[in-house]
Amino acid sequence: MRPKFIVGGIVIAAALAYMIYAGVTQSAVYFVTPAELRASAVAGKAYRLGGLVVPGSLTWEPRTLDLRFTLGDGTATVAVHHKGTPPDLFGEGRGAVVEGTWSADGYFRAGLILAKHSEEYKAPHDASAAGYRELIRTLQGAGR
Amino acid sequence: MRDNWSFVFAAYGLAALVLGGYWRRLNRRERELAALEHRRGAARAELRTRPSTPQR
Amino acid sequence: MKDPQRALGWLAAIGLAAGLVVAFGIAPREATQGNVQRIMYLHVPAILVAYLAFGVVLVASTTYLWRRAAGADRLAHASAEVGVIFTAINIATGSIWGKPTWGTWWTWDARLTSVSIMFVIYLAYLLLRAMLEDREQAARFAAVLGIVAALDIPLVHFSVYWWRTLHQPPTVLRPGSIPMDATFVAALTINLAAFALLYGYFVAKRVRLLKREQEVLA
Repeated sequence: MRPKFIVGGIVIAAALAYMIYAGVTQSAVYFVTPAELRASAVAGKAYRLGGLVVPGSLTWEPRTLDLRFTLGDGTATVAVHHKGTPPDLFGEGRGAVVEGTWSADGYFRAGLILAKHSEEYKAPHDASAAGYRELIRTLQGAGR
Repeated sequence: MRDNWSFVFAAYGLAALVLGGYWRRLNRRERELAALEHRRGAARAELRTRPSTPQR
Repeated sequence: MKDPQRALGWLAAIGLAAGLVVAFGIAPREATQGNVQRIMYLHVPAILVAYLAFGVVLVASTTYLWRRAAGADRLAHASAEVGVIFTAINIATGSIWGKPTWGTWWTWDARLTSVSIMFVIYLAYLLLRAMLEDREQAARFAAVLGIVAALDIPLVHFSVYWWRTLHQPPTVLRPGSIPMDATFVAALTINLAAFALLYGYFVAKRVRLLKREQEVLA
């Protein structure tokens, strides 16, 4: 058998082994929810936390790059601190997954912020058009 | 919202490169095979017409 | 003999040109993501055509084991190769799309992990084919792997439902209506058709090439 195939075979086997390892250790429980973190938080342990950015909780200081917000899942919330610029799709009322550690001081220190977006895609004026239709419906007193 | 046009062009450019590269690879292999067939055909024809002449 | 294939090639070229026109000229700028969302017209058709390609590998492999037809084996081989090309495009464009929107080039969530596993399994399939000298044996082993590998297709597609992921659920292949404006759907459909034509063209070309290779090198 030619050495090319042996090398190729080893590379493929190693890649597959690594991916299955990553799949079992990381993908199976990709993130914990705020409620799950609250139930069993260990200070200093690394977590991936996912939830919705609670509207009104987001503050960002462009000069110091201090980003603070609260992640919620409907039952529990967790305060998150981060230093850096968030991705474009990050924002209040949107989904986010953060990587970091639980601090003993009662907040989550995030090293990486990931934005989780929905599967919906809208044209620019769609939202306002829907609002307009909604407005007309209420003006007509149609109720539902 | 920033537009990130550079990312859009990178994605489309990369896709064009991969698809174009594969297409060119198939065409090259076709030409190689045609050349091989041609050589063999010529060799066979030469053998038939002049069996006594030594092969080049 | 060569004409239908050439016609398919031209159809694919026209389709791709039309796809670019609708993706950049007609489809509107997406409200939340901006113009970067236009990567979708590459990313989504690429994976759907890859599913199609690996589905063809499954059917052709089964046919080969059943009927031992050399044509079915060539179709499986060609389709796997083209499927790998489209999977690579899907992964690369997804990574480029992920950086500005999610904030990362890569993460090991269930969708990204399962699609990588699918990519590597079909690479292994092609390697196995190249490795085995005996054509009959290569065809038989590859057919078995071509059937087993298809198990990963539903895993990739449903991973976003079965596990928590960063990747969002599917927009197109899903129960119920598509949560997207009609122009986006039209742009996606045209690009999907163009990619499917290109897949057909590549597979036809590759199958013919394999047949000639086997004749010449026999």
